[in-house]
Amino acid sequence: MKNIAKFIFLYLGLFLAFALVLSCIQLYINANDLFGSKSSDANYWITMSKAITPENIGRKELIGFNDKQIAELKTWEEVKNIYPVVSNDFRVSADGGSFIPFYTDMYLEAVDNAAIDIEDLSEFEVKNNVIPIIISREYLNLYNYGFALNQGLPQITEEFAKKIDVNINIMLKEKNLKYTGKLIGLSDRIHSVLVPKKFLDSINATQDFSRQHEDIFTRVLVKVDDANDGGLIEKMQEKGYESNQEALRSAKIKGKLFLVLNTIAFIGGFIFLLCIFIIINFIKMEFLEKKEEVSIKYSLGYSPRKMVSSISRFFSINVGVVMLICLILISVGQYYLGTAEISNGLLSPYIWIYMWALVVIVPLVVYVFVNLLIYRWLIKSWKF
Amino acid sequence: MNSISLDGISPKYFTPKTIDSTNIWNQKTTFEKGNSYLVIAPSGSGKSTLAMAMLGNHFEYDGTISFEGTDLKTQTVEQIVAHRRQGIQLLFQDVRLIPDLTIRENIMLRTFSKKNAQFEDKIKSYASTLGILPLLDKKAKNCSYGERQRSAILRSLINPTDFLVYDECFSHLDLNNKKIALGLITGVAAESGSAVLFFELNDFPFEHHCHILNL
Repeated sequence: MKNIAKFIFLYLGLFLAFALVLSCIQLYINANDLFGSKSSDANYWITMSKAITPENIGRKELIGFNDKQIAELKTWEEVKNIYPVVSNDFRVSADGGSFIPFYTDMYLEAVDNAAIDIEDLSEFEVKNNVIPIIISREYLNLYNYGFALNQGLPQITEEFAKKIDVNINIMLKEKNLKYTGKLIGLSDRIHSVLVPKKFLDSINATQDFSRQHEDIFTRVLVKVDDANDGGLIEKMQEKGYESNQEALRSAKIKGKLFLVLNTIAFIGGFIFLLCIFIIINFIKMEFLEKKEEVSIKYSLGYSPRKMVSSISRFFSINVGVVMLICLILISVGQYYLGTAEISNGLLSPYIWIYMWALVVIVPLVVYVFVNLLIYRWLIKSWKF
Repeated sequence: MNSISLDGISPKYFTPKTIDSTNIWNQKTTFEKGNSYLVIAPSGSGKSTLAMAMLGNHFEYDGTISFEGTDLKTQTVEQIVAHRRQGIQLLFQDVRLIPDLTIRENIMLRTFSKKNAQFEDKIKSYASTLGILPLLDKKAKNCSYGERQRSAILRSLINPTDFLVYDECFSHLDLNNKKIALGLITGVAAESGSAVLFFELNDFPFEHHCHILNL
């Protein structure tokens, strides 16, 4: 009777442990399905900059990335490629000429063409005093939905914006240059005013500050494998780098969810270890209760190793059976979850196929482990 | 296994009373297969200590016990246990039957789960010789000491090893039963070519053909 109660508690504990660990694994798989899993094909772009602190405020050499930092960024496993953003080192302004009465100081940036999300870049070259410009779609939206509505100005479509010429005035130390700016496209990726890199580099090269700080880049565009990566966020936080990409926010949610799952799985693992400990003690007690029988068998020529392995085998088969029951229950649950409307067709109705392999692997590991520990205990402490 | 040699052995934690008059302690003795030996060992001479050491149950002695030249102390537990299947068997002074098993089940332990008609015939024939045939299906705990002693003798003979060691195995038998048991043991041993070693307090009070040694 006492033994039956012990068995019930042991197997309940094992069941609980497996239910926790296995459902965490399945939830992890489900979460990956919902949030998008890591994949080396899935590219994501983030714009990285350094957090502004009282120490680096206004100091380009501190607020920007230097060669060493860029080289280090390249070594991060999540990072596929890096495109530093070059900014202007001279004053720039724009005006609408006689057509649109406006004047604004502005800035220019440039980046490798490979990083720009516009298909046709054939016109992205300075020709005949015309500077092609790419701006963020956000800027046009800002104008259309914020500024224009309040100021009673007309909304501008992308096509119309491309037709407007503006004057770009570049004020260098020794001379001023006048260009015509022409919008050739809108970028969803880069929040900036982009001009051809060759052009910006050539003008920057004539300026003193640039010559001293030519290897400082205020922002970098980073092409990553998967922006939903907790590891990347951690590294960025550690280095004090920032990015305002929405993708990183979902990564943070996913990161927290995984933290919770890890904690539950850890508790499950702990209960599992506790159960193994109970099994080991259970077997030891069996041996102690049958001390006389074991001693007699030993003196008659029964191998202690075989006696231990037969009892370990019994327990590991039981562990396998409990695990199988647990997996069957989880797969029933997963089937209902996967076919339910709430999953939106994103979840598989079947559990992760490799989990079935655990029904063999875990009992095998338990067998080897328990066998080894009990045998060592028997040989060391047993007086036959 | 053809021989067991004892070379210069003496117990580690006590000095046997008979240490000055012994043929075994601190001497070199070899037991050979096919022979019968009677080791006369008064109380306190270390009889059980020696018997258990020969079985490989402990190593609390100086000197060497070797099975066909192989020092027992160099063997692993599994190797020692393996010798007990075909090499050496000891009938302990305290008999050692599993109380909850029947006499038949206890006897069959020595066959290592091999069940065949040959064993069954042997059990019946030896049991009837020893006078325990009606007890075969009785639990060991319900038998008298003498009955258990005879059952243990039967167990030692069902699947005899090369060396059969008996530690005061007749202590609860009357003279007649003692003679019958000795006859059965030596008969089975002669048939299987085994050596027999009896550890006794005194010489047998009847004629026998054992080599006598003093412990």
